[in-house]
This record gives sequence, C-alpha cells and structure tokens, in this order.
Amino acid sequence: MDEENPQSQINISVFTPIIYLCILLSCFIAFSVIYRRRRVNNLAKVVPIFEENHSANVYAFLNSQYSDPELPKDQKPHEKVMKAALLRRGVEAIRRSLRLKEAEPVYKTLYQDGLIGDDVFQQFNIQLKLQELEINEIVQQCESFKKNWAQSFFKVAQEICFNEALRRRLYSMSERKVDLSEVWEYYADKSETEVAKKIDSIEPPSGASGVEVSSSKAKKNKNKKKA
Amino acid sequence: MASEYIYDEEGDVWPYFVLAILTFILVPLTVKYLARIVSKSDPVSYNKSVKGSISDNHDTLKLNHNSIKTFQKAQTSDRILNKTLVVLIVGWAVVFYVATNLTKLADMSGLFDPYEILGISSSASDKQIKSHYRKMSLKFHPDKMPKDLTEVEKEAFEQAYIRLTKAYKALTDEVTRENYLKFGHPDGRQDTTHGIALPKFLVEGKFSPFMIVFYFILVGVLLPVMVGSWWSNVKSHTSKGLHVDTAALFVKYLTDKNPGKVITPFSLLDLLCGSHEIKHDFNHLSLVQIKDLLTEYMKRETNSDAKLELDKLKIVNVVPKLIVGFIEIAVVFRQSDVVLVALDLEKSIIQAVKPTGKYKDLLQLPYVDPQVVEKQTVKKLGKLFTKDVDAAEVLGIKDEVKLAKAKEVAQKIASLRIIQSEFVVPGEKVVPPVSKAHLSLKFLIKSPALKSCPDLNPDLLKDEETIEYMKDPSSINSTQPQLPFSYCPYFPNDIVNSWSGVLINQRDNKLVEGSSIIKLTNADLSNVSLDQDAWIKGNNVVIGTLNVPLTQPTPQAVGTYPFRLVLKNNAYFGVDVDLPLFLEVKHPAPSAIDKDKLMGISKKDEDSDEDKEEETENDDDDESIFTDINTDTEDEDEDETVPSK
Repeated sequence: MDEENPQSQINISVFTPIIYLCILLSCFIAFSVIYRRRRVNNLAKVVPIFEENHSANVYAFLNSQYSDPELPKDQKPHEKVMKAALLRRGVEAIRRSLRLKEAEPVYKTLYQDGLIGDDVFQQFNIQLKLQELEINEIVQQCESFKKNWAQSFFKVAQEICFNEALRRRLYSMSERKVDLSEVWEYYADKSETEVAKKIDSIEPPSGASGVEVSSSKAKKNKNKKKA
Repeated sequence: MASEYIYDEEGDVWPYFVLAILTFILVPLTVKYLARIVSKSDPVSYNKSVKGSISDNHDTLKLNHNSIKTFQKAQTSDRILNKTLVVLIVGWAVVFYVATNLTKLADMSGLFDPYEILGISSSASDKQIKSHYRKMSLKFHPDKMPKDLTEVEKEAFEQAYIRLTKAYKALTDEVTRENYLKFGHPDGRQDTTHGIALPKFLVEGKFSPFMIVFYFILVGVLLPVMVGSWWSNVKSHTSKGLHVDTAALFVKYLTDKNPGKVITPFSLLDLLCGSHEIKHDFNHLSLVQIKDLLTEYMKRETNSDAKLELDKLKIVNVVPKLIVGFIEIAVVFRQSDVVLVALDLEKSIIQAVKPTGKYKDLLQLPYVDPQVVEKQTVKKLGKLFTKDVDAAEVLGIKDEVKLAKAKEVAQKIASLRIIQSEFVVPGEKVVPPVSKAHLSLKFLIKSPALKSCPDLNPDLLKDEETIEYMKDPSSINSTQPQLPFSYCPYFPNDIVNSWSGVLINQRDNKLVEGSSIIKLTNADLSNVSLDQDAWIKGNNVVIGTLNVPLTQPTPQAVGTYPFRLVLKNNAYFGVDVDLPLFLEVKHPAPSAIDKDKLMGISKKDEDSDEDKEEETENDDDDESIFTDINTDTEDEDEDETVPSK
C-alpha cells in the first residue's frame, strides 16, 4: 500500500459488476422460490379442518355429465337429481359455515396466545375464504337452474341442516349407550341376568321376582342418566 | 490520528478479547447448568418433611419395577452428562489457560486520572484539593530537589511535578477542566489508536485467505444457521411446548367434533397416540403396539422385553404433558366434557389405573388385586376405615405388612371438603352488576379415615380485608404451603400434586368465557394426620383458602346465575369436588352514610339485618354442597350394596 504507483492500476471489466449483480439477484430469487415452495408445502401438510366434502364431489361429478354436450340426452342426469344434489351441497356448506363462524374467535385467541402455529391459523383463514367462494358458487348454480331460487334455496338448506343435526344427536343415543357402558363397565344385560339369577336362587319363582327386576332396571336407567 | 491500524503483534490485547467473549457465554451457561442439577430434589425425602404427605415410591414399596430405576438413572445421567458439560469443561479450560499464561499487564500509563495523581479521593472538595496540592507541591517542587540525583532521576522528578500541576489544573482551572471532561486529558485531544486484536501475518500475510474463509464461515454460514435453527425451533413449538403438528391435530379434533358422540378416555388416547411427539420419537413402534403398551401400563403389568418396557415408560412420561397441552387448547374451545375426560385420563396415566369402571378409588392403592376388588361392593376409600368392612378381603391383600402399607397410603390420600363457596367482590356486601368478582372457596383438607365435619367458628371463614387482599384476592392462595409431590409409584417421573378445576356455566354447559384452568397448588396437609377426636373438636384444624378471580365482569342484569365448579386432583381418585354455585347479582344498598343523611335510619339496625341475611345464605350454601357432594355418592353406594347382600 505504501508504494502506490499509477502503473499498477487494475483494469476492471464492465462485466464484473454485472456478473456480481447477476449472482446476487439469482441468489435472492433462488432463495425466495425455495422458501415459498417450502411454505406452500408446509401449508399443504397441515391436516385440513374438515373431511372431504362428499356432497360437493357428487354434485361436481353430476354437473360434468349434465353439461357434457356429447352425452346423449337419456344418459344425462335429470334436472331434479341435479337440484337435489345441489341442495345436499348447500346443506354441507351451511354446516361448515356455521362451524367456522363458531370457531373464528377461538382460533384468534389460540393464535394470539401462541397455542397454534402460523400454518394452522393461515389454513383456517384460507378455509374461511374457500367457504365464501363455495357459497358464491352455489348461488350461481342456483341461478342457473331458476332465477331468484337462491333466496328460498338457502332457507330450505338451513332447515335440512338443523334437522339433520337434531337427527345426528338422536341417532347417536344408542352409540352413547355403548360408549358409556364401556367407560363405567356397566353392562346392563350381563348384570341384569346376574341379578335375576340371584333373585331366582333366593326366592321361589313367583310374580315378585319380575317386579324386582323391573325396579332394578329403572335404577340403572337413572344411573345412566347421571353418567 | 494515525491512519494505519496497529496489529496485535505482541499478543497484548487478544487474550482479553477471547476472555471477554468466553466468560460472556460461559457464565450464564454454567448458572443454567447448575440450577438444573440443584433444582431436582428427591421426592421421597422432600415429602418426609411435609406433614400429612405420602413419602413412598416404587422403591420403598418394593414393587420390583427395575425399569423405572433404569429410566430415572438414564434421566439423571442425561441431566449431568450432556453436551453442555463438554462445552463448559472445554470453555473453562480455555479461559483458565488464557488467563494464566497469555495475559500481560496492560499498560495504563496513557490514562489520566487527576485524583489518582494527586492521591486524594474523588469526592474531595475544592478546598481539600487546594490544600492537598499545596502540601504536595512543597514536597515535589523542583527547587526542593535533592542535589545528589542523576540526570534521569532529575527528569523523572520534574515530570512528576508537571503531572501534579496538570492534575491540579484539571480540577481547578476552567479551560483545562473542560479539556479533561471532553477528551479525558488536560492537554486536549490525544492521539487515538485503533488496533486489531490479531497479529499482522493473519491479516496481511499469506494466511489472510484463511482468515477470510474463517470469517465467511462464521458470518455467512454459522450465524444464519444458528439463528435459523433457533427460529424454526421456536416456530415448530407452541408457547406451551407442544409441537405445532400436535396442536393442529388437537385443534382439528375439537373444531369438527361430533357433538352427539361421547368422548371416552380411549378415543382421547387414540388422539394422543397420533401426536407428533409420540409418532416421531417412537416410530419404531406401530400404533397398535403403543396402545398395547399403554393398556398394559394401566393394568400395572410388566413387559418381559426390557427394551419395550423402557419404551413404555418413555411413552407414559410424555402422555401427561400432551394431556396438559390438549386441555390448554380445549379450554379455549370451552368444551367442558372433553376437559373433564382429559383430566381424568391424566390421573389414570399418573396413577397407572385403568380409566374405566367404578373401582378406581381402590385400584390406586398399592398391592391391590384388581380381580378381588372388582368382585365386591365397596368402592370408596372412606368405607375401608369403617368397622364392618374387612380391608384385607376388599383389597385382596393377604400379607399383613402390605395391607398395613396400603391402608396407610389410603389414609393419607388427601381429599377436599368445601365448607364455604361464594362469589365475593372485595369491599362489597353483595355482588353488584358489572363488577370484578372472585370465587372464594374455604375448604378442609381431609383424610378418608376421618368422619363427619368439625363445627367451625364462622369468623374463621372470612378473609381479612388487608390492602393486599383488596388489590388481589388470589394473593392469599400462595401464603399457604405448597402441595408436596404426588404418590405415584408406577409413573416414571416426579409429579407435584395439585387440583385443576374448571368453572362451567350451567346455562349452556360450557366453560365460562375467557376462563383458564383453575389451579389449586397450595394447601396445608396437616389435617390428614389428625385423629378422629381432634378432627371433630376442630381446634387444630387448618382451613384452606382458594380465591379465583373471574375473568369476566359480572353480568349487567340483576339475577341469579348458576355455575358448576369441578376440581380434579392430578394424581388421586376419589378426592374430586363437583359442586353447584350461584352467582347472585344485586344492586348494592345505598351506603350507610348516604342512608343516614337521607332517611335518618340508625346504622346499627341495618348492619345487623344484613349480617343475619348473609348468615342464612351461607347456611343454605353449605347444605346444598353437602347434599350434592358427599351424601349423593354414599347414597349410591348403599343403594347398590343392598340388593346384592
């Protein structure tokens, strides 16, 4: 550095800074591409909140047949079938919308408290948007069948949805019975026969034993309710 | 200013640089390491020092569960012999070597401290400085120089006098003082030198490429990798230490749950087995194998395969943490049924008792024979201590010593008896609308062997209204002694005993909005070791307190709001509390002074009236509680025992 003379100047080609910039930029681009791809992959890996939307799939399949111009007319699904399928799709959409609406403040709190990861929260927001799109699409499909049908359509769909919710709870009673008897190790049939046997061994057969059994049954029912 | 850098050829500076960096890293690391070792206390010896606690583990009970020993040994050695220890040893060795062999005394002559030169303290006043300077200058003035000095000594003598004068001026003369304050030297700006704590050959010699590569690796590779791995670790776990995939699984389960379906402990276990923590760490085991191991553990059976046995303990060790994480999330969803099942499952895992059936209270005791227990009719711990019950027959234990031990454990399983529960607003006699209320519980810790309840002075059930209490009613909780370790001889780790609770709104059967898990971690257990007479007399009975602030303000509308409080122990069965509560929102009566002014009613009458009202209210509360908790369950027992006899 001490012997500075003008002869030993280094000639820098014009390309040097350009190459430098190119390398730098390509590095950045490569990084951002890889980073984004990984993020999308991660997001796809998160377990979706809902199972597969079966009724939407059925409708999509029917619709593809319905609007296929090459298919002969007698092989196309009937319009009533299409409407019924659309109604099913609407019911599922309403169920999901209600669930999401219910869960929205919960997800916000969970995210604020750091109890869930970014991916889950982001996926939830995507799900919300998808649900909106789904409903919009259903409205469009409605209008394609009959003008102004959408208004009454959602009313009916909601009613079906509530009715089905009630039915689900009602039909699950027998399943609840099985589950709860497993938890409490309370096998009604088994213990009833045991009690009946005991009564038979103590008392001579008469009408009284039947009363006993029925009263013990009532007690059991009472216990079940408590559980 | 010198334009060129000065290299550290002599090796004066870099040792200090290295020392500073190393100590900066090593000191916190050492403190953390030592704290981790010291914090681990032995549960048995700790519990022996706590009155009324159970100080038994699998070792003292001689359960022949050697795998627990191996597991705990592995854990201890993991805690002491780990990577941190290697880093600490190498680091401190380097520090020691550098400090003793490579450092030289730094040359401090360039620094100027007028106080030190004058030899006075830095707090001396102007007068003191002046008088001191006079004395010194008399001594060191060149005129007073002894004549027999050599040239060099003379020079030094004069220099010393000049320095003395400079120091004096720096403290008294305006200009020099300003120079001193600004530049640190009375003559004004000094030459500053910028050095590099490296020898020259590393920077400008042929070794410079190595240096560049070293720096590149440090800044371009190591630093981003470290920060990146730290960040991805932060992102991959939730604030409660659950893996994000696990949290996603739990959240999905709770969002799309079929409300008609019963949550059973088994469905919950299935969910937990699908978590990242178990799937990832035990991927050599199939899902069925993991479930089998857990069932086997809850039956208190040992596996003949030592390796599988160790895996079993490792899985079991993880499960309670997962359950706690699951409850954290379920509480936000306000799903009470799931939370209660999860709390029960946690107990089953910690106590190694199957999560089904009605005999869990007895099955948690040591040495019991489950087949014998499940064939008889006694279900509660308290029944074991009644006269007409033969404990040996009930529990199926033939050995006298073992039976005595089992009974001792049963006697010390502390349960809660709530004697008063109400919603209170500090400083108010009623709960006004939109106020900050808290739930106040008064309870007795009780052994199952103790019968009935002592009569207590109602004055003892009032919280003293200190400033601390008015500010935060829950501050009283922590004044009680901490609960000791739980008795859990089959669980491989130590668990601190506690009750976890939830407040449920009876109107929709969901958890109260914005609520979190109520924790009862402090209580005096000394009641457990009282005998029946002392218990009934109630003189030495300790009353426990739990104050829980409500997260939401009380409702705006006046009325009665029904709640349900469930408190579940994390380790013992049969000691839980489930009681109805009523929040009565009323408009407060106008304050006494206002009333005096307005209506002229005497203050005494009003006070006594209100006191009476409150007392009757409390009585009502107590009655309803007792009928709900205790008598109810005993009724059931009796009902079921009658037909089989």
